[in-house]
Amino acid sequence: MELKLVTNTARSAVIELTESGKYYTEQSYDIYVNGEKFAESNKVITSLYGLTPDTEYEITAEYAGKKVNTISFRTNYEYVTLNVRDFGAYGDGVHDDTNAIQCAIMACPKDSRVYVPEGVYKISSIFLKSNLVLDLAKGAVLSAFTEREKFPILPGIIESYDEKEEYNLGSWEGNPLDTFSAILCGLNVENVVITGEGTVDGCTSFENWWHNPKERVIAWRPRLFFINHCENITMHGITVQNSPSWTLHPYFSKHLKFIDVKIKNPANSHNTDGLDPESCEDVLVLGTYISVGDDCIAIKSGKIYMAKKYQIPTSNMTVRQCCMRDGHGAVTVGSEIAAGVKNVHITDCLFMNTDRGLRVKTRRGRGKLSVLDDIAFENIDMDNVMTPFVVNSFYFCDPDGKTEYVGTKKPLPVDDRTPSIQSLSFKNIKATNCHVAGAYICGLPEKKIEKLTFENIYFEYAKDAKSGVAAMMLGCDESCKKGLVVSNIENLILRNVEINGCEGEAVVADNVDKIERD
Amino acid sequence: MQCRNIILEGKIKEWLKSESFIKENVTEQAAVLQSLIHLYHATKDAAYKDFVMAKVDEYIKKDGSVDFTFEEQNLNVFYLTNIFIFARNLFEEEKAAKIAASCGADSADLAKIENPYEKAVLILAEKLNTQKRTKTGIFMNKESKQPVDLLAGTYFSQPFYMNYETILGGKERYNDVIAQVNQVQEVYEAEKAALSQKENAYFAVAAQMYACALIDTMAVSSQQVYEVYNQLRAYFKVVVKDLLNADVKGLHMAYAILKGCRLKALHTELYADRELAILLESIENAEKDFASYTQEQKATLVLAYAESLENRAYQNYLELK
Repeated sequence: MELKLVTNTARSAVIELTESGKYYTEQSYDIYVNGEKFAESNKVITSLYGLTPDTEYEITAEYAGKKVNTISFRTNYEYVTLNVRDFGAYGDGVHDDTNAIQCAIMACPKDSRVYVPEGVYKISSIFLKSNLVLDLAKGAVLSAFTEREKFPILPGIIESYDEKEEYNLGSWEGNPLDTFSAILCGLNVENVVITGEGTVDGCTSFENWWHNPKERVIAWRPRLFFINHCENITMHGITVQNSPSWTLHPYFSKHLKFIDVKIKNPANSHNTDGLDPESCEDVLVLGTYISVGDDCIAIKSGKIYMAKKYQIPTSNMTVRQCCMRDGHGAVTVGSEIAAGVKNVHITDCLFMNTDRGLRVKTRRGRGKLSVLDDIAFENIDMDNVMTPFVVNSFYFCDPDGKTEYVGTKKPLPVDDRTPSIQSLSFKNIKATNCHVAGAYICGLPEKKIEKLTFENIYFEYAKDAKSGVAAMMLGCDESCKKGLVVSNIENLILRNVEINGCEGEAVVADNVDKIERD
Repeated sequence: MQCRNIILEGKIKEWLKSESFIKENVTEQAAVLQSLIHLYHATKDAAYKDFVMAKVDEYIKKDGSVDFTFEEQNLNVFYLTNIFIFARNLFEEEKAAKIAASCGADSADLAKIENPYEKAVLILAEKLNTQKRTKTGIFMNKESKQPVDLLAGTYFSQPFYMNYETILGGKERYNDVIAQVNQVQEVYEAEKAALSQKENAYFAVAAQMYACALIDTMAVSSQQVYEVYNQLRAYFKVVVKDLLNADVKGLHMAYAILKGCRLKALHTELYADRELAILLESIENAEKDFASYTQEQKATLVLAYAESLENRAYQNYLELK
């Protein structure tokens, strides 16, 4: 067990107590700052607020009666604090504070912060700028309006004057389409930290953005947070909730950190994914709690047009010490993955009450650039997850997803439209209270999954297991307590896989070239 | 966005009252009704909608059966059936309004009411399955493989086919629509030298209709199937540039280009002025002798005029009201 400094700003720090549990520590523990007891925590990743700029700190912890190591660091230098109240924000929950907060942001010099004190600030869209720290105090709520007329629009494509190039701003479900600007929006900015104990509330209900959610009215629904072509962006500590659509949507951006963020949307809300990095590179998600109405994390890289034009996969992503609950999928890859996804590692996480643990959603038509490779899950506890592993190569929830071409189980010729899955690996996973199936894995018959590894996996089924549909594909009917159902795989590796309480065969394999089994 | 022209619209209304429209002349009827639907969308003037609905009811019985025998293998059946989709949508909107107004009292009964226009559209859409095609898969109009007929036939058939697939077909056959358009584009590319040949004047007319077909098909396609949407846009731009380079002028072209600008397929700054000038000159002439125009000339003028009235802002907040 070791205490580590994860990151710090001028006013806060994040620490990690390693080998103490998954998201939650096995026991609560005390944190000492400069020798004084500062806080108590029951989480592996903990944020500390109320620090002062340019100051030396020593931090230690006492876990189960024993002191762990001490870490020393200096908080960042801070030039000025711009309090949004000084810029005319009311924070009374009524007045439109968009302009005042935007003014503070635009006025913010380097090494400074925009401070939002306690209060409810009604806003539409706020735009970030480079070299900014936006600090939401405890009790500060950026509370969004929900009237379409109040939101600017990010056009999908703006063609250059010479008609040779195009400028893409808006994005909707993998395509460059007109979208209302996000509540917090960054375009071509860098070095931004959004931090604090406050909240960004989309205030969405079934009477506004979630009404007729699949219908474009003027433009597509806004995200709660959208960054496009940004670098070095950190979101830390804050709570984001009631998002109009996908909650956090980084797009063609790199070097991103989401640390100790709380993402909360109602379980029945429409398409309110938690975090959807799309064509992004170097993404860290750490100590984050996600409970939403769709997928907790959905990793994407666009549909055909964007993938062909820019060919940027999502790559080098780490999800660690996170808790996902009440979503359709805990970590989903897809369905808009036409430029591929590679090097995604999910470790030391807790999945609770989600429909699926890993969920891969792909289909014919995503294209030959849609290569999924090196996707690994390790040290995961799942409880009450309906189906822990689902790989669906026939995903039909697309405008044209229920066609014969997408749905047929017969092999079709491999061509430019055929996606592929190379390597999926699952190790050290305990899945208790499973319901529908342990795993439901379907590759394409004409392009099988190259390598699928299950190692040190324990499945146990709920006594009152509920039936359900494992994958959104034609021919996948309701089932209950199935074991491992796998098809269209080149090399399947099963090492130390224990399946307790399933009904029928533990492993049902169809069209699998090679099975390595101990 | 142009202002409404009271003089022209007076003449249009007079025309609708005084002239007889022959049910059997399907192509002409469809052209007139299509232009009036656009004019209704642009003005919200119920007179145009009422005229269209009265004409539609001459073809469709209250039980949704079709009271007309269409000529076999003539693509104009699809041209007219696209008008029936307008009637179908209107019926659905009115039904939804009634359900909302009933505050739940009779909503279940209201929801069960069958849409006769939808039934008719479904019947006529069956003809998509039996329409004869070229070897490359393009719908043929009365079995003609002539390039001009294939281009004009695209105008008659593909906007309907796409509209039908978007609204009622589950987008199942988007691939067929775009595959046909791909082939038509090849035909167009092979023949487009004719645009600048005076002896081939009809090719320029057909190419204008093809430009209309592309923008009309794009307009009713789902943006979410972006590859298809964008391919149609790309072809449209190619054809428009060719027409401009060949200095072709015409109201179909004016309509297509103005619509393309509104839908952001073209830069308004670069393309709209010439077409507006052509349209305004045509309107000025029509104010003098509209009565002497043929039905199809009137329909084309109304179509382009209606497009010029549309809110030029693509994001139309009036939709919310």
